Amino acid sequence: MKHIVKITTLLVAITALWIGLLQMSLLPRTHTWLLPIYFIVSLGCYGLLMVGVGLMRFPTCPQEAALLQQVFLFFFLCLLYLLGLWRETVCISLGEIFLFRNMVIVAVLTSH
Amino acid sequence: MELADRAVGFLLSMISLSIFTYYTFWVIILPFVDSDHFIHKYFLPQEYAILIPVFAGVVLLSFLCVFIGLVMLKSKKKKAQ
Repeated sequence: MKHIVKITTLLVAITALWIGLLQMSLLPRTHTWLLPIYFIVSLGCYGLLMVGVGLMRFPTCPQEAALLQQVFLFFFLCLLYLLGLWRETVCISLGEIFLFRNMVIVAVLTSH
Repeated sequence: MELADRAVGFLLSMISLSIFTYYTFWVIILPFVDSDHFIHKYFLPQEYAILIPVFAGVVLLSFLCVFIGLVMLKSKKKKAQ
């Protein structure tokens, strides 16, 4: 119950601040509806995020979860390498990526 | 099946995070940046920051109303038969 009270007081405070800024003409009247719409959009995003995190977080097969983590890491490293090629600021060679990936696999397997 | 679940969850969370950061940047940070900075090319004009969520909300509400109406009609038809 206290959590909801905290959140509602925060919302009321921010709304009061917004209305005060509007009344004092520090904010043009065209931007009235910016704050409520921003809150609604962020609420929707928060809901989607919670659904996504919940879907990700309950694996029932630990081996496949470890394999999947390796796949994701490899994919992420390839992405970094391609980004480096595009930007020419990161000079990681493909061999170093494979070395790093093998090290990570060894670390994951020995930690289990 | 685990893979599909986790992939969908990952995709959903990435979509929501990207929408949130884009919208936050658009609404809060962009008004304080000089108007001839290069970053303004990547963002739509500021009026769309209000129009697009309102439009999406209206579409969602109308879709919900249509769906509820269809379900009510179907249940009435079933009762009449």
